[in-house]
Amino acid sequence: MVVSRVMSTQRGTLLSSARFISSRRIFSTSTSSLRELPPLSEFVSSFTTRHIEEPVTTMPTEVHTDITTTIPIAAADSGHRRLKRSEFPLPVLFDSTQAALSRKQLPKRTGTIAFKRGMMSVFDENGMRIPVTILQIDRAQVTYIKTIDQHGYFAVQVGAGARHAKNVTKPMLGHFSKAGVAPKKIVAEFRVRDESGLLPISHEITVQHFKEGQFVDIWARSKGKGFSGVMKRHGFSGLPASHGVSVSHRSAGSTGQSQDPGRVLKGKKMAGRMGGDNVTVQNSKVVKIYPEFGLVLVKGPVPGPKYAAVSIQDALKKSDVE
Amino acid sequence: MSLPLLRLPVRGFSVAETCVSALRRAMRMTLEDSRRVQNAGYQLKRKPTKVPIKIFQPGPSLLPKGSEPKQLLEQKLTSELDPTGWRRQLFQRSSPLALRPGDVVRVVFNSETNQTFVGTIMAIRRRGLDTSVRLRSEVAQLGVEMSVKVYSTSVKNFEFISRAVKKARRAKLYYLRPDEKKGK
Repeated sequence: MVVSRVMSTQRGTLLSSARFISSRRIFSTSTSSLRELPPLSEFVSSFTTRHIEEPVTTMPTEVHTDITTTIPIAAADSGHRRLKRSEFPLPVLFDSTQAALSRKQLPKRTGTIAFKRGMMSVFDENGMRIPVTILQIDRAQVTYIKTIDQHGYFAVQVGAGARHAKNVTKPMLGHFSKAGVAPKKIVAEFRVRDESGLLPISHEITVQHFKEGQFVDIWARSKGKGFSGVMKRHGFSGLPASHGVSVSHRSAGSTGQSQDPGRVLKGKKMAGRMGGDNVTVQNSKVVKIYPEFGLVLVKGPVPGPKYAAVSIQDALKKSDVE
Repeated sequence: MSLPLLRLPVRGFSVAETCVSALRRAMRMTLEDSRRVQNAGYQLKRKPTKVPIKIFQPGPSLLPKGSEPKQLLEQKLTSELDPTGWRRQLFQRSSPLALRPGDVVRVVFNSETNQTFVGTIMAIRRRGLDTSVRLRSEVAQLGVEMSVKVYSTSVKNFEFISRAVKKARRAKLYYLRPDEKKGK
């Protein structure tokens, strides 16, 4: 489809052909079509008829791009000069999906869903008190896998908890049935760097997925605070409690300047709904693991209320850990 | 014979295919069905085929039903940190050896030099594993207060020195602190 387009264009100057070749439509956004590109000789011929009399040079049989995809080059017809490397079509564009994926920083291994079960404190060998959050990994299993061929990226979908089948929708029941797992309470996806991070479907992820002393990133929906005033929401100091201040002790005060700009600027911090947003806590240390209970003790606080589901994955910024 | 209502949203059918064969292929009908459609002049409803969904049973949770992980862990840790139970005997209200506010106590730490601190118990904060006791002492005319985590591994021992002269009428003896406005 793409090749026929090129062939049908008029054989203009090399510049115009090159410009067309470099348009984004040739390298489509789905990586599957990139791997199935036709051999370049099919549209190489459209702009090699310049009759340049130069000796035929041997070209490499494969071209390696940044994303380790090889584009085979078939032998050119006799009478046509093989292209120099500098005249070859451009490599993968900086703003293409493939290039973005190769740049993205992702953990190697999958994460898992855990349920927040409160906080307590433990003592280490030096006698220091460490406040910990108790996270329970309850029957977490892999329910689906996403691959670059089909979905454009690598990810592991994990389901945790248990739910009565009568409370689960039919589409989800079918989804769990296909994975060979019982209906789960919650399902979440974890992106991984490449195929080595994928796990088999219905594989159970236990607390032993994590090690004591390793660092993890935890993200969850924070506790909702409702409609909060400006002092709670943005840390404004409010107004004095006395000295003639009337009725506005907790208000924001002024919201802008005078005639210029003559309006309240966008993004002005004001009262509104606070909480209930996705919060990530990075580099939390795993203090202790209890495989017999399926519990992980993680240092410090974790967003969300008790019994809420949180996602844990290896810390991105501590890449030396396995 | 042309049929009404045969504008099917099906793709991939060539122009050469007749309407009926397209319908049949779209709806996977038998030849008899398609003949019936041809005669009747309307679209047959496709019988829905119900595929039963296999539902797997969940495994048991690792936590016993009705148990709280915090309680389980506290029990476990208490048995690890205080196997003989002497801390519990000293700080449980009902115990005969219980310490009370106003008692003078020496705490010995787990350091190399066995560092100690002697002081009056000002307050006992009972929170299970987080239980702490606040001791007050005058060291070279300088008041020193120390809060000690009872279950910490750095605490070796509590030695009872003397009972309060008079039973304190309250649980927290913050009044022992000197009055700030004194002398002004």
